Amino acid sequence: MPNLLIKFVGNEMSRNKYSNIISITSKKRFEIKYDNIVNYSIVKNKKIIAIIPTYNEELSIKKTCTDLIKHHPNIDILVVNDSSTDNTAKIVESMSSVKLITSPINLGIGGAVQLGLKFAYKNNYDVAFQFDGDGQHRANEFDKLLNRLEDDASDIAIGSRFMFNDKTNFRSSFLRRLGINFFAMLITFLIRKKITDPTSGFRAFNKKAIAVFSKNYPFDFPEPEVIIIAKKKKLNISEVFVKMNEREFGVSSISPLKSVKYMFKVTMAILLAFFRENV
Amino acid sequence: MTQRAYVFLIITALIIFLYILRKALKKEISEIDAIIWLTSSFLGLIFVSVPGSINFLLNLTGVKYAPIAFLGLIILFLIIQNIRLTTRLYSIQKKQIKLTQEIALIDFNVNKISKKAEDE
Repeated sequence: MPNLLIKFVGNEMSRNKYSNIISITSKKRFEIKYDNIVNYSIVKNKKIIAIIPTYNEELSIKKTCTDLIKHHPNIDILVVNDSSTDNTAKIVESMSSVKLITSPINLGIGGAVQLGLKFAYKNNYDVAFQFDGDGQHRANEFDKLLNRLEDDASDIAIGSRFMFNDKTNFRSSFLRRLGINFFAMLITFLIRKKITDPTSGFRAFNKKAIAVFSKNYPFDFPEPEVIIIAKKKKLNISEVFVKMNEREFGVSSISPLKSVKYMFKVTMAILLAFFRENV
Repeated sequence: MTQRAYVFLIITALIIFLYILRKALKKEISEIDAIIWLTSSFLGLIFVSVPGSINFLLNLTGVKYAPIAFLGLIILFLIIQNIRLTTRLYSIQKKQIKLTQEIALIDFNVNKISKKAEDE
């Protein structure tokens, strides 16, 4: 039985999943915080996979996979090695419970995630997680996204750092937050749905979304574009507040110096994705 | 235009035409590209070698100075070609990514079968 600790809850909510435990209707703000929850994959008997796209993550990949196995022993873990030149593949190969797909050439983040989604689609998975290999995402936050897929009939759940003003959460540099806020406002305006963290790479896709994005996934600036494509494909998107860590090793692919160039490119990519007929 | 410049232009245009023809005959460029390049280089050769033909360009573009009209048309042609090639490059990139993904998935399955066979 899940150990539920009620802190505060959203407006008028009644969670069917816990209907045997609790049913809440209130106009006050709530949030359900749950500890030691029974693994969702066992509860719902769903086939779940965590896709970890990696490129030269030898310093962090083992810890990322170990954390996932520790928190979710019943879900499959797939590392998509995007033609790393370091020992990432060797490290993953030494972990018997982790699946490894190695791309013969570097596909970029979009191609690597799509490869994972193709694997999930071909192997009939119900839910696919996108999870960073650099240690930024927390394995213990999986259930929040899973619950959101189930409760809100969402097709894609995005882990957001910015839903609440939590100062303890890692929120990246000021310049980056400024950029993310701009993209969030732009996407919110275009799709008419509040999005707070459009660049978050911590996402869960249900079967319908897996089918859509295994066939068509943007390559250049995938995270924000995926939201636009999802909207155009009539998929439901929702965000869940998650905590993230600062990356322990390596550097982000977007340096502060490149941020202005990146801002322009991503803005154009978002607008193009929105106005494109065939997405 | 001096006679030397005139000869130089004709030789240059002829070299370009022959170079593309050679590439086309050796099948180093696709049929459609060969047609486009051969036609345009042949037209270029005509314009530089037949003096009166440039007047046709002047009437067509409304530009009064012949070299500018000629240069303008060349730039326009190159822009169109560039757009065409960008489109084709993207299409090839998409195919390459798809093919790479398929290879990676097949490779995964082959490794899985090999491991199974080894275990048995």
